[in-house]
Amino acid sequence: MVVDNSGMSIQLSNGVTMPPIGLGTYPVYGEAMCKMIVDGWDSGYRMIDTSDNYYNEEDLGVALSRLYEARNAKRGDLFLVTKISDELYPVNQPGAGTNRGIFFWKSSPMMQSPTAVHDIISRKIERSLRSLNTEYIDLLLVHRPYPDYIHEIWAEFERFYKQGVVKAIGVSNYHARNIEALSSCEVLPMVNQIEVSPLNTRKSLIEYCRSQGIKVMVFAPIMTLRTVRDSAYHDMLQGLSKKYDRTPAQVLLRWNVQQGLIPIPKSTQRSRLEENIAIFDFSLEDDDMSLIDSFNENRQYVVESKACPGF
Amino acid sequence: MRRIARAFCNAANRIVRRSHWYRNIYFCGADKFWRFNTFNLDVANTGSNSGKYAFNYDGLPVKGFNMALGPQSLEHDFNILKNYFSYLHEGARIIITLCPFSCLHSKYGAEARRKYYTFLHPATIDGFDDAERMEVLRFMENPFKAKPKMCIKFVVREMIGKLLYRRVSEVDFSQSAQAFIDGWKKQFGIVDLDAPLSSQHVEQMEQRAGVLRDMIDFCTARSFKPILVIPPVHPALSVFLTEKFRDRYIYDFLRKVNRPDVQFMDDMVLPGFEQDEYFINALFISELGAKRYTRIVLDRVGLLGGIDSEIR
Ligand SMILES: NC(=O)c1ccc[n+]([C@@H]2O[C@H](COP(=O)([O-])OP(=O)(O)OC[C@H]3O[C@@H](n4cnc5c(N)ncnc54)[C@H](OP(=O)(O)O)[C@@H]3O)[C@@H](O)[C@H]2O)c1
Repeated sequence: MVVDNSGMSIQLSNGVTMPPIGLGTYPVYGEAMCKMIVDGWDSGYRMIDTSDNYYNEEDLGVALSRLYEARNAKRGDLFLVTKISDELYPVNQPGAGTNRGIFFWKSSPMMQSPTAVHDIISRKIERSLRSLNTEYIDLLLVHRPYPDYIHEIWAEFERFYKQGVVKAIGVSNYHARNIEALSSCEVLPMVNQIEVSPLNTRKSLIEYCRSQGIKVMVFAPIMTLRTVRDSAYHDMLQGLSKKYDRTPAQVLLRWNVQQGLIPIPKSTQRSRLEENIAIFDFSLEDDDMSLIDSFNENRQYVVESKACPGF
Repeated sequence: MRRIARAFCNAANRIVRRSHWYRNIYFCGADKFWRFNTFNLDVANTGSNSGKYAFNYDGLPVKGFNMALGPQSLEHDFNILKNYFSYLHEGARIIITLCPFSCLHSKYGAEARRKYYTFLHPATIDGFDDAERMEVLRFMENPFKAKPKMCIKFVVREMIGKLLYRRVSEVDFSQSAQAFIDGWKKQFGIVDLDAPLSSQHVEQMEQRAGVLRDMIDFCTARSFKPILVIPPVHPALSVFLTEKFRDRYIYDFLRKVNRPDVQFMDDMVLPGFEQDEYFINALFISELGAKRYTRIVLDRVGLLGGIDSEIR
């Protein structure tokens, strides 16, 4: 089943349009990536989210080549999102997947040259372009509000945006306070990719982004299905699932799009990919939206201050 | 055979991980951060050992977290706050615990650093070293495999100690106070506590005031309410810390910080808090004392909603 959501595209503040839902890719590698990208295409996904520190851009590049061949798809049919980040500890080391503090931290030996930010970002963008086998990136995000270089990083983003190498620029995990720090810049972020879930509804940040013309993209939109133990939460989702004859994941994703948010769920399973995108033909009643909201506890799945201290 | 060896190793790891030596000596109590995952905190306190011993939120109708660890510098108090502030709700109180010599620069060896590898982002660990991190994390995860001889030595010593010395000996507070005073004089190179600060110490004070100012501004920029607190010390110690000393080492320090709007509680001499049972030594508060003192502080800042108006 293909879901056609082309008529529902979202317009960014610079006029660029993007799909209303995307496909997450962390942590997916190798053959699994190839399969997910083709299955995702067949299911209707046209936006793909990756990052330099998912270490899978090359795998995604290979998957895209296969997709272009197998489905006669073109680069222009897709909206590719990637991010500029610090490094993570590799899987075979203690603390795997946590930040290394190498890039964009003043204390790092890598950052001692006055042109460090420029050099690192240029290298990273070049690498992403090469890995993804593309001449442009649709949306480039700063992965976290690295406090030591918030302005310098953004200045580089503006530069690449003006050059046309990236069609839109944005941020991720930024609070209003961090976005405000960029208010005197020439180009404002077009997107803020953040964690939103019924346990962490982020109402005031979403409202702030809306007031600034910034679109909110949502990572880990269905993670609570796996991580939350509270039975009342699952009972609520089951209840709504029955009422609307949809799965709990669909209820959650619908709750996202109905607020104007752009979710990027990840799944390596074909049936789930189809399930997750089939959310544009029903709506949740206002009371049910409020019911979901009422589970808010400001509980973060990725603890922001641990990932980016002092932000 | 292999299975037996693995079972033995697992059992040994469990024993080591539960030991006082592993948790409180080797990792200095950092294990409280390893599993910590409580959001919407109403209050948290920072600090070195005096903060660590002064606050205990158990049984109170607030969500609190004692982030203090010892020994450590003010810079690392700040680094911990930078790593853990996401757990606090907007408007939460942050108690910044100061001690008599917070204004001076204290040096700690590499040993004091190892605890940080287990719960802080690398960019916030002074003197970070990747090889050291790896060694510490390997030990943290699998202590018996990483350092079997060391584990046997210290854990066995601890077990024997427990068997032999069941009774807690009485603390001689005068002796303890003298030991702290002598230790500080030696550590900071001070001859007379009442004398004006040396130019080197004045410089350190300026630099420390900058750190404390940044810490206060960090809190207010994130809509938290910082409160500066000096917890009570035993009367045997406070006699050494004269008005002159306090003016030079504490009040002058706070004048340099120059954030007069921030609430400051100088409880070094707190009437009604002189009993021996409230202290484990001349400087550090006992669990009983911490429970009482925490109530006193939280009541003053209105976090107990008046339920404890009779506590003082
Ligand atoms: N900007 C950031 O800081 C940041 C942080 C984290 C993630 N991200 C991005 O956001 C993407 C999405 O976040 P995420 O992957 O962490 O979480 P997510 O997409 O909310 O959840 C993924 C998990 O849900 C399972 N799942 C997928 N569909 C399901 C369904 N219909 N029913 C039940 N379970 C389902 C997946 O397993 P299966 O694969 O087995 O189906 C996987 O375990 C990431 O892939 C990444 O691209 C960004």
